[in-house]
Amino acid sequence: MNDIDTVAKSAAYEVVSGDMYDWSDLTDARALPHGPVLTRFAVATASDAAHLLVVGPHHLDLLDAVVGLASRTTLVLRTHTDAQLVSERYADRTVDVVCGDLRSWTPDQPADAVLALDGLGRVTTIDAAPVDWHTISVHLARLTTRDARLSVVVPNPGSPLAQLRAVTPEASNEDADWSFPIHDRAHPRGLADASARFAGRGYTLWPDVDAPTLAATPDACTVALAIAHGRPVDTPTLRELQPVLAQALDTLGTAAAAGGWLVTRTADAIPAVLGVDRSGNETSWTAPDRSWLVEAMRDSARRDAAGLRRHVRRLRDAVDGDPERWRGLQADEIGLDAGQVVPLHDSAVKLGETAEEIFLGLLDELAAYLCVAGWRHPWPAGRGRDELTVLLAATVETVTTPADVRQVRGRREAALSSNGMTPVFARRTSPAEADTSELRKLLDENEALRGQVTWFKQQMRQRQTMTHEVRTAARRDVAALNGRIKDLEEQLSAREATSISRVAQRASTVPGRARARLGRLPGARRAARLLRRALGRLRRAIRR
Amino acid sequence: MDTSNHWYGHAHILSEYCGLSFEEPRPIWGVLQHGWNLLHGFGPGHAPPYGFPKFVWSHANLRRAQAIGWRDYAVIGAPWNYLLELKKDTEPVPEAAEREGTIFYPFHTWDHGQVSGDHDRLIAEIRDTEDGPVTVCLYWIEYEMPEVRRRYEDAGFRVICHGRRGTLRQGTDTRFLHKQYAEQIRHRRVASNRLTTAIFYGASVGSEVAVYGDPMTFSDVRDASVRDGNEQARRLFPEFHGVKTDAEEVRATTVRELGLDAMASPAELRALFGWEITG
Repeated sequence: MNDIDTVAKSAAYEVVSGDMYDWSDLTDARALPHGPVLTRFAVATASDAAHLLVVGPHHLDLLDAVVGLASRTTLVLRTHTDAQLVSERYADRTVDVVCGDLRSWTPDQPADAVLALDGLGRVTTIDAAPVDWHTISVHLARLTTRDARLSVVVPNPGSPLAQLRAVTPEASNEDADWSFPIHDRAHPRGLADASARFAGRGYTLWPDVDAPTLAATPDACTVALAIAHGRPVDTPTLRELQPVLAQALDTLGTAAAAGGWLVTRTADAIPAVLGVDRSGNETSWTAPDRSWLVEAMRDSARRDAAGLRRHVRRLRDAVDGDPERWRGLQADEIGLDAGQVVPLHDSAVKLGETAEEIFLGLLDELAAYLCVAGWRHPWPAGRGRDELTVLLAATVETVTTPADVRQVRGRREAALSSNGMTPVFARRTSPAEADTSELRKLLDENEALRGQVTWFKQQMRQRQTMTHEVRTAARRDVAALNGRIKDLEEQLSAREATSISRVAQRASTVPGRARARLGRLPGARRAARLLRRALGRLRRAIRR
Repeated sequence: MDTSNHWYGHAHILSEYCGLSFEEPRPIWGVLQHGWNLLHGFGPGHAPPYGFPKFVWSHANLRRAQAIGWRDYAVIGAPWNYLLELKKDTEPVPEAAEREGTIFYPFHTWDHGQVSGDHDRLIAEIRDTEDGPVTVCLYWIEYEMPEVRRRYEDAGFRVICHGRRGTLRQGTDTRFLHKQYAEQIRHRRVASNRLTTAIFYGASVGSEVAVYGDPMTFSDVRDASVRDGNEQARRLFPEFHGVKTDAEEVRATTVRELGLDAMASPAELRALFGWEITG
């Protein structure tokens, strides 16, 4: 064990009880809070504060953004490695670094601004018995002024998103993918609970708490936003669960399903929806009437065909009117305001050339969303993403084909990819990307089915051949019988009518039982029919 | 193709609306609702196969279907709506002043049923109510029953029939709805003793509508084997019942029930019906 109680080190930062050795939260495998969304909250909290307190590890980029905004800043970290690192980094700034357990530190001046964007999970020592979230939060409140500004992140261990994400890494069995599960009975049970503890405004964070791309207040966070920003890792297994996820979001509400929550009290007003667009730039979306086109489409898809057609028409008109405004947008970035579709931010990305292509690309994404959200089934069967796009386009008299749709999608995805972006609604993996064992199984199945089809075709051909032979034989028999009839007619016409009558009389006087027996002989009935027909013709000939 | 799609020339009208042949409509991949009803768009005994697209008139039909777990629905509005669209320039609805009299549709039976009711009492009620010339439009089955037809003729009414709906694509009067349209737009009022499709059609062309008189019923309803629906219709749509009705209320309901607000474009219909070659 290293001896850290040297003059040099203790001069650089303050050491309190609970300091940890041979450990670093900053270089731990677990991610640190960072990104433009959290930075926005951090800056709003720290600006012009008298004493900013930062508890727990934070990404250095985020620290860089806030250090210097307050008159005085104190960073409380529990490990010497981290304390050393940040104290060196900010040696020339008014930054105090404290190393140890948060509960062991008493400030000489209460903080009027607090940042805990990593939550409260890494602020106490692991050398002592663990303490629960509530205890730490109570202690944190004691370190601050009554009306201190703050931004505290609270992870949501019950988030379906978090749980879905936890599925894949287990298979990899990598240390980096593992994290200690939270079983803390005092952990807030929901955003409302967390907000109440700090008397602050609550935001939902998507997709996770480490680097959220979206923070939205519960009433402004729509399902569309949640799906767009919270969709799980793009693997085939998880994608199958997306309709279920959409249903869960719809039912539970977005707050319960969020990756985490953020409670804040800031001087500056922060918009209800704050996020980064797909090119990574910070953007504030104002959703007029809190309505998104994708959600309106989803709501209409089930029970309001007229509404669905109306939305598509509005989008078409808007894109036709000013294609430039829509060129770089994806489907989840379109709002509805007083019945008009509105782009929710500007984008420099070029996802289409013509208005028609832009419109078709957006429709394709809307169709994908309807499929992802589990709303394909209200439509006539057999319509996947491609055909649903064709159908949506047809509602405004735009005739296209699935092949056209696939082409537009390909170009759009290539443009996104060249800008380091991903499609908002992932498409299904192509055979080349699919799991090879799964592919093998499908190929085998296909082969087996092909064999069955071949067998059926052979059977059909055999039956056709048999039918043809039977028909030919029947034709031959009929021809022979006709010849025989002709012979009989000629023979009978040579005799006198009286003898014919005699024959007829004889035939009619044969007793019934004998006639019945005669009828059982093979060909007897047919011969009798022929005979009757011949007699009839003879009679008619004689009458003439 | 479901043969009921041809009834009343529905498939023919939709085909013409889509810019295709009226005389020889292509097979529709799915089944069309053929008359207004209080169910899921189809008759009580009509259960379209699973996975077979169902094209219904209104969102109410859709909701009822979803309630019983049916899917693959598309709301496209009544074929009548598309006829109105086709006629709007060539044979527009005349001004109210140019229309006169009443066309009355007595409740009718169908190929496999029988209606029970008092025609004489109904005739008396029509006489007491209507002050202008009256045309009675009988369904083809009653039209071919002299004992029924004669009663209305003897009462001094003009008696007509729009044609046969046909069965298994045989005997369909493909211009059934055209004839109905021609008759309805020349009359000021459209009435019936039941809330039926014809009443909605009348409302859609601006006629006054009225539902009154002995509602009659299917004979087999008397033994409770078939749901009648008349009382339910009265409860759901009181605005149609009575000698005088409120035109505005009637119009609003008609828009919903006929799906006048849910019409599809020709391209959409072609895509829905499988009339578009896609690849």
